[in-house]
Amino acid sequence: MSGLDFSDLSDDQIVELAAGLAREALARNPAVAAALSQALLSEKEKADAALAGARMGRARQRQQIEDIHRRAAQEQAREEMRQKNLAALGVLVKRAASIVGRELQDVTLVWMTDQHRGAQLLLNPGTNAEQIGVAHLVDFLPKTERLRTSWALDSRKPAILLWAREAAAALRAMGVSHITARGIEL
Amino acid sequence: MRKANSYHPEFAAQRVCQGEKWGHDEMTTAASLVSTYEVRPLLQALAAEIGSDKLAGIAASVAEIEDQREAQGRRCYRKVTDAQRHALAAALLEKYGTARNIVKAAWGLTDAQIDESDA
Repeated sequence: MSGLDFSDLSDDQIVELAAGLAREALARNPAVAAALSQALLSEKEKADAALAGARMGRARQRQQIEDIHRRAAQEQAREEMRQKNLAALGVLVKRAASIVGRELQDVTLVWMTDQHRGAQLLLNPGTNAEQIGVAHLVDFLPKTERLRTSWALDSRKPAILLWAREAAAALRAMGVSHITARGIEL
Repeated sequence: MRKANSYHPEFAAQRVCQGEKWGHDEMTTAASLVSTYEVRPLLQALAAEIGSDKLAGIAASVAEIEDQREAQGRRCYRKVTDAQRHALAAALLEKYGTARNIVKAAWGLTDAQIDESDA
């Protein structure tokens, strides 16, 4: 009997119908009457729960949208910071490119901080920003002042060391832990 | 004395083809070719070109080890170390770019000859 359709009745008719049902239930059995009142109450509870659920759902949606906006703002701020740092690094990368004897578009500067080895300055050929498995042009570890260059740059090690020291100092002053400056975007 | 660790041109070409076919790292292929007899003049020329005594020294000791291995055979305890191979291979790849170019320069092969060596 759960498929009955009461949408054709008017409001008064529905109230009359409910009253009639209650009279019939009281006439039959106190158990039936109790069951009827329980059913009415549980329906009310169900309706209340549905409303509360809808309200919570809307609140969660609003929270999610707020989160998205906040994260977007954070990302934008970070991107602006990165652009500023890149502008500062432009001079260093240009000088590196001239010392190494390559075009500006052909070098990439990578600054990374390791927990154990400390900061590390790398100059990679092309647009390669990888840290391992690449033949670095320059590999400088400020902590131990260890400089490794590619074989061809062996003769220019003194000049490269001067540049590397300066670049490491500038990057440490900048206070970033990781930054990649590609020559093509400077 | 026989040429120490001399590769037949087709063998070197086949190594290159296999490396390309299976996507091996260029460094691996170059490192295995670096101690061969035919690559010695390349290394000497490169060391002279960049003016590096270190590279010349490494190439010389690798050549000496290979000669000793050729002379003593199984009795020779010395071997070319991975560090030596890596250093020489890095230098050669810097100049020639790919292992294929190294083989073309050292054994005087063309691209077609290298390709048809791996049937």
